Amino acid sequence: MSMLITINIAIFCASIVAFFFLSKLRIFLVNVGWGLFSLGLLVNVVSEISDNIILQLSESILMGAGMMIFALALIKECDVILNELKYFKDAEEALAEREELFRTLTENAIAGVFMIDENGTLIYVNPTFSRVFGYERDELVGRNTFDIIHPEDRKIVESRIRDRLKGRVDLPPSRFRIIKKDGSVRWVEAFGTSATYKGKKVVLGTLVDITERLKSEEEIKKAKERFETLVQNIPGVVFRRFLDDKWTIEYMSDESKNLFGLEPSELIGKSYLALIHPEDKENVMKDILKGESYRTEYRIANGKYVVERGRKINEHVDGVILDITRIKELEEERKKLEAQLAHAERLISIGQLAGGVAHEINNPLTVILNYAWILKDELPSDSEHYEMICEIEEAGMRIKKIVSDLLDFSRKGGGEFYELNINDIIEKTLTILTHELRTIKVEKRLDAKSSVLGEEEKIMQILLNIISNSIWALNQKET
Amino acid sequence: MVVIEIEDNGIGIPKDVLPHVFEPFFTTKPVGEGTGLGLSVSYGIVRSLGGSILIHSEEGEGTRIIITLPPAKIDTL
Repeated sequence: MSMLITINIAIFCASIVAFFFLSKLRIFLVNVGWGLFSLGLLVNVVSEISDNIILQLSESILMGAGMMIFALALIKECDVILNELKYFKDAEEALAEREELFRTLTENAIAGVFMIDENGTLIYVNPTFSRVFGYERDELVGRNTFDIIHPEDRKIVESRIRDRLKGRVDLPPSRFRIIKKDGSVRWVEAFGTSATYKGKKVVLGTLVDITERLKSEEEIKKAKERFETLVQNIPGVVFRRFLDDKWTIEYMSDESKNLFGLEPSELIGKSYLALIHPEDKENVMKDILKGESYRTEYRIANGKYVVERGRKINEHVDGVILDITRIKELEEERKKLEAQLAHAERLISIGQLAGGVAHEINNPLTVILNYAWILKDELPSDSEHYEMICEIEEAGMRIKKIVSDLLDFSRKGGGEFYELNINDIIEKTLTILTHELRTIKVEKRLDAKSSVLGEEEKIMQILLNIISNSIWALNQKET
Repeated sequence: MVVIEIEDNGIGIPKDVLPHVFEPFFTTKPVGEGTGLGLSVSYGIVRSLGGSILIHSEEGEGTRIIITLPPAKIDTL
């Protein structure tokens, strides 16, 4: 009896505690149900003994109610258990799904995925990783990473793994060489990060074979170098300009130093129009507008002559500028020489003509002069024709002088050369001109030894001509 | 070189005339006073001897003519 009561009181207390501490209604209900049922049982025991109708009635009510509550709680509990079972099943499925997701991700990743422990032992590798190294996955897992890294690059990788394990994340990807199963060497690029796996520090990472990329990079670099050396060795300025209103310079080769006196870096981004000689700007613009390809000659701002050939491509002009200053100079010189030659040729032909004419005139002139002299001798000086004859004689003499000058002019050299003392010739010339020089003060400064090779009468002629000019110029000044 | 300098303080040669003085039949003298051949002939002779003629002139100041001829012997250099 007292035992049953004690149990009941304990169960009540337990259910209250459960209610407060577990806040689980169903546990409370189970206990209430069980309590009522057991109370009914107790009453039943008592009623057996006492045979009291009230006790028998309450026994039935208590047991019934207790059974019902217990059953309800039990049903509720079952529902909960079923739910929980379902929840566990769902969780299991979700887990499996997630695992599959991650497996699919890593197993099919285009990059090689790996996990290594602190000693560099491979814990996990994906198929791509195995493919990069040419091994089967089984051959790699459990193996030390350093076995498959090129000996020269092991130190770099080792220090990098150490840094990763320290948690450094700011490091760039590392590039190193690996050795494949077949012995071939490939370049790879690896990214890694530290993580904890099964309570141990590990490095997680991805890795990509970059051998082909490096090759193409190398090829691009080589092509660029080839382009640069080619362009820099061209004996002209290679350029690219925008076809905007300022002709902005986009590229210019190093030769700009020699032509413009400016480094390419000082020119790029600037207007090209400022480099053209202001007077030539208009012509250059006209030439460039002519067609897709053009050629134009102009002066640049520092006065050098250049020729520019270019082609218009979309919004650019590509071309080359060559310094033709020297060529221009030579051309000028040639033109000058040509003019001189033409002049000399003209002189020669004039000389020949003059010589021919002079000869032709000389004969009739002799007739005229001879007869004039005869008439002059025969006519009395007071004759009305005497003056006329004198005029004829004078005019004739003038013609004779002209003819003789013409003959001098046209006469070619060919006489014999002698060593002549220039001082003697000067003295002789001055003697000839004594009459003309009578009113002029002559200063002579003669050196002791001055001899030339030539014909005396020709040298004398030079001096006569020049001194006569001086005399004339001096007389002009006096009058 | 043997150098002959002939200088006068006559009327000089105008600047625009100077470039033409060696041209044949070029003269500024009145008709009858010059044939325009004097300097031309002189120039021709000097050139045929391998020499040169230089003219310095200031209008109104005078004229200086410098004739340079190759020496007969090297030791007269």
